[in-house]
Amino acid sequence: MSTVLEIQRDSFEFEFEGNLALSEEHKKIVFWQAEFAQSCYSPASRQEENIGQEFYKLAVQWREETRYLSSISEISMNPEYQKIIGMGGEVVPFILRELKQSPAYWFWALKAITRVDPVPVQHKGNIEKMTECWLKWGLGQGYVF
Amino acid sequence: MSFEKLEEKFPNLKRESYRITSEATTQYNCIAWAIEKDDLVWWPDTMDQYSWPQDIVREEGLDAFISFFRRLGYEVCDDDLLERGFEKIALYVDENARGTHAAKQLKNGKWTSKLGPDEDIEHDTLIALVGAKLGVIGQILKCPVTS
Repeated sequence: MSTVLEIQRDSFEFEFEGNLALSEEHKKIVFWQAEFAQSCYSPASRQEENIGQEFYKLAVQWREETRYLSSISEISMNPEYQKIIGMGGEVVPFILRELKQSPAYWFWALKAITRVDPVPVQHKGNIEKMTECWLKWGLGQGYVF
Repeated sequence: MSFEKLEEKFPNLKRESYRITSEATTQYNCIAWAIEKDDLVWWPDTMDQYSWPQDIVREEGLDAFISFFRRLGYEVCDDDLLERGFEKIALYVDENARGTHAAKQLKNGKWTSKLGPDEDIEHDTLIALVGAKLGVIGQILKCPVTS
């Protein structure tokens, strides 16, 4: 099965050529890969690009598998989420970028990987404030996202 | 939200009427929604990331959630029937009796649930959400309301 992907820079529309039957999730992965490729964050190496692709693949799966779940533990102990944590420090800028664009429950992962917690007690549970704290921390650490 | 996705995850919803009552948001969760708040995520997570009263044990057992709602004036009760003068909350648990979800009864007798980081829905019965995702109903609580 072959795929020819053309991205129109202004509208981020896709044209899929060939005989394809891509699932919605697969399309999301492809979209994020394409967006990543066009973003101002240019991968410095093939390894970085691979990390990004792996992260987005796992993130999409995580999001799908934890849909509608309320338990933070279940959301965070999800195997795909744990694999992201296992990717270590190199995945942090990708998480921060994702957090910036679409606040989600990435805080367990960030704390587990970085071993820090820049969120003060009074902001715990306030997703907007927690996001601000982590993004500020990330900028302070020199991450580009 | 995809109704198909919703019914795929909660097959019992197919057997009754329900409606989606909000857009997806991560800003609040089921516990917050049950206490009519939409600005915080409440959960006794062991990584200390989310809101939880400091003097209630930070663990996911049913008792911790009961303690949480007791603090707000709720007491355990035996049924999910609409009762004049009371509002009710239902706590769901998994097979290990850990809390998984809270639903709140509406004045019309139906229930409202915030489904994790996704949408709120209004559903006819508590059974609608029973299943692999959220487990079973662990405890129902009620609190007197002033008219």
